[in-house]
Amino acid sequence: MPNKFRRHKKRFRLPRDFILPVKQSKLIEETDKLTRHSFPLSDNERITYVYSRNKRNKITEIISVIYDLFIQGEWVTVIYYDSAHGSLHRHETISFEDRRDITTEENVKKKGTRERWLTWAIKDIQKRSSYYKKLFLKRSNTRIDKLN
Amino acid sequence: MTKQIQTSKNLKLSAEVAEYITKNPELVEDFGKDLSFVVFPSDDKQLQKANVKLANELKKEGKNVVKVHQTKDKKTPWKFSYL
Repeated sequence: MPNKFRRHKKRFRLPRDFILPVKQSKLIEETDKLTRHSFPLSDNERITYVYSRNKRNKITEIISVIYDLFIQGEWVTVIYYDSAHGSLHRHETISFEDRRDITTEENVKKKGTRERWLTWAIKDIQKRSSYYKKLFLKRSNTRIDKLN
Repeated sequence: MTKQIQTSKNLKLSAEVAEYITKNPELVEDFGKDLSFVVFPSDDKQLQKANVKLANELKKEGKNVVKVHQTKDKKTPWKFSYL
């Protein structure tokens, strides 16, 4: 079709008060399988990841990727990642005494599939676990010289 | 082997295994949903020894321990078996 005709073609527009359905983020269905895999690194450190998969074996939600330390007879979470609100974010536990956590999306992968987020979170913990541990122990008032 | 060396070696290996599992979930499907994976590299006897101890402790705690053996096959670099 020549350009002069195309220019005058009436475009279809939706009326202003037309309501479009909002695309809902997928909730975890009952049929989704919850998987929990733990990797002990030594007798006082471990990485655990929990995620859900659908029937097609596709990851639908990263429940958490957790880095734990065994301190004074109990497992304490130092940091964990989750994708609860549709994006990946990190939770850092304040200290051994104060178990509340600080949530951040700073320097956290934002694009990609759930599979990519999961492997990214695991690799991030792999690279920076000693840094997270050091900061956590520094913030803790209890003198934790030796992790028992 | 010190704990620090064991931790850093296991960190590296576990990230590789985790990536492999997420790409091939069917390989561990039959083992269950709540699992503890202990990695056994093919060329590090010291780490193998330390991880045997670690796996036995976990077993005593009543956990489902899965041994992850490193192979030299590039297509299937890891093999899984119950402890």
